[in-house]
Amino acid sequence: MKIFPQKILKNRSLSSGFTTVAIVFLFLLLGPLLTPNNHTFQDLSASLQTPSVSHWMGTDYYGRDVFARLVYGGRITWLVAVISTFFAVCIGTIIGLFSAYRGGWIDFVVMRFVDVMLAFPKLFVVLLIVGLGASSTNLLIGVLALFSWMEITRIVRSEVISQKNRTYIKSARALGLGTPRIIIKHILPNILSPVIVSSVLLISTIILVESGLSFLGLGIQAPNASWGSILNDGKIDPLGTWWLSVPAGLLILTTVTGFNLIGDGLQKLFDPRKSL
Amino acid sequence: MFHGIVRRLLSAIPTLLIGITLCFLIIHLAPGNPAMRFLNPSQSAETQEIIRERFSLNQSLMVQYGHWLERVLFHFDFGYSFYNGKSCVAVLASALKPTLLLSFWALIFALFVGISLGIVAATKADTRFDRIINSIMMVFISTPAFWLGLMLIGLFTIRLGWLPGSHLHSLYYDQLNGFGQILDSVRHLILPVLTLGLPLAATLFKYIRAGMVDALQSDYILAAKARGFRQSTILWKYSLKNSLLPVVSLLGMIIPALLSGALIIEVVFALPGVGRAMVTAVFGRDYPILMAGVSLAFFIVILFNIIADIINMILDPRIQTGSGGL
Repeated sequence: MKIFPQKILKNRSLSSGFTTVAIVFLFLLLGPLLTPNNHTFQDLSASLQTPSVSHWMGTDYYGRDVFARLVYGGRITWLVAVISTFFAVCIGTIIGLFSAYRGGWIDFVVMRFVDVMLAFPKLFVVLLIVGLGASSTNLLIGVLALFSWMEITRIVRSEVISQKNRTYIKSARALGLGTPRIIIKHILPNILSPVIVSSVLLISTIILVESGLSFLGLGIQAPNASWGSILNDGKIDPLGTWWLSVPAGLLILTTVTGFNLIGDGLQKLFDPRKSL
Repeated sequence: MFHGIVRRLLSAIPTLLIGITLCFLIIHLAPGNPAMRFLNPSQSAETQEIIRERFSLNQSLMVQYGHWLERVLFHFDFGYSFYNGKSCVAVLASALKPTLLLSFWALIFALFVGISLGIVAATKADTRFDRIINSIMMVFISTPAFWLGLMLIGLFTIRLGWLPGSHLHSLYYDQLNGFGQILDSVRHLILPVLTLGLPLAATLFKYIRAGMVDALQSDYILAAKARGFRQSTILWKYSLKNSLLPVVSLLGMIIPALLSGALIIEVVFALPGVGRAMVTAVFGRDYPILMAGVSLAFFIVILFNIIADIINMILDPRIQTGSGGL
C-alpha cells in the first residue's frame, strides 16, 4: 500500500476533512489564549449577555463566559470521543484477532456475544448506565467504549479470516515463526486500513452520542461544559439566545463532518472500489 | 429456507434473555435508592425499610430477578411504576403511540427523500448537481438531530409562529371537528418528523446513490442499453431493484437508529413517547418502567433484525447462515 502525497492532495474528501478538523483542533488548542475568562466562573449580574468585547460569545444564565465554555467543552467532547474510540478500537481489535485466529467454538461464542451486543438498543442502555451510575467522565468514556467495539471486531475478524490462509502467512508459519509474531508483524499491518477508516468514523458517532447525552443532562455535568450541555442551556429560546445554541451546534456539526470526510477520504484512498 | 428462519428465530431468544438480564443487573446494581424519593432524611430507618419492602427492594437480587422474569413470562406483567403506581404495560402502551407515529412518518419521509434524491444524484453522477447534493447530505448525516430540532423550533415556532413545536395536539384538540383534528396532528408532527427524518434520509441517500452508481456501471445495464431498452426502463426496472437490496438489510440498522433518535427528539419536542418516559424514569429511578422500556426496545430491535434477515434470505437465497454471518 503506497500512498503518494499528490494522491492525498487530490483526494477532496480527505483534504477538506483534514482542514476542517485541523481548524477546530487549533480553536480548541489556542482558545484559552484568546480569552482571559474562566469557563466555570459565575457572574450572576452578567447573566445572558449578548456577545461583546469582554465576552466574545456572550454569557449563559449564570453569567459564565460562553466562548471559554465552548473551548473547554469542546476539549472535553473531543477527549471523551478520542479516548473512548481508542479503547473501543483496542478491545475490538484484540477480540477480533483472537476470535478469528482461534476459530472453532471460541469464535462461535465470541461472535454470538457480538450479536447480543449489536442488538442492544445502544442509546437506551447507555442512557441507563450513565443516568443511574455516578455521573463521572470516566464512566461516560468507559460506557461509550463498551458499546462501540463490535463493528471493529467484525471487520478485524473477517479480514483476519481472509488473510490467515494466504500463502504468505503459511510460508511464515513454515519458516517457524510463532503466532504472536505472525499476528503482530504480518497480519496486523494488512488489516490496518479498514480499522483506521472505521475508527475515524467511530469518533464522529461517539461525538454525536456524547453530545446527545450531555444535552439530556446525563453526560458531562455542570459546572463543566460539553457542546451538548451548552446546547441544553440554550434550548428555551434557541434563536433568541443564539450565542448559546448556534455556535455549539455548528462546532459539533463541523467536527463530525470533518471526521466523516476524513473517514470517507481514507476509504477512497485505501480501497477505491469499496468507497461509497 | 424454513429451516433458516426457524434457526434465526430461536437464536433470538438467548440474545433477548442475556440482554434483558444484563439490563436488570445494571439497573439494580447502580448506586442510588429509589425508596429515597418518598422519604425525607429525618424519617426513621423503619419507615425506610417498610417502603423498601413495599417495592420488594429488600430481597436479594436473584429473588427479585426471578420474580420479575416469572411475572413477565407467565402473566405479561411488568409491574407498577414506583412513581405513580400505574401499570408499566399501560404506561408504555400509551407512550408507544407517539413514538410509532413519529418513527413511522420519519421513516416514510427518509425513504422518499433518500431514494428519490439518490436516484437523481446517481443518474447525474459526478456533475456539479451531484456534488452539491452530496455535500448537503454529508452535512445532514453529521447534524446532531436534537440541534436541528432546536433550530427548527427556534425558527418556525418562536420566530415565525408557523408551526407548533411541542406536544402531539393543541390544548383545544377535543373541540375540533374531524378534519381539524387531523390538521392539528399533522401540524404538530411536521417539525419532529423533519428532525428525525432528515439525518436518516441523508444516510439512506448515501447508500442508494452508491448502489445506483454501481448498478448503472454494471455489465447487465450495458447489455440492456445495447439492446435498446428505454432509459426509464433501465433505471426503474433494473438498476433500482438491485440498488434497493442493501436498503432492506439496512432495515436492521435503521430501526435502532430511529428508536435512539426518537428518544432525544421526544424530549426536544415534549412528545409523550417511550423515549421521554425512559428519560423521566432514569431521573426518577423508576426501576419497573426502566426495565419495561428497555425490554420493549430490545424486543423491537431484535424483531426488526430478524425481519431484515428473513427478507434478505428470501431475496438472496445464498444467505442461509441464519444469524449473524459475515
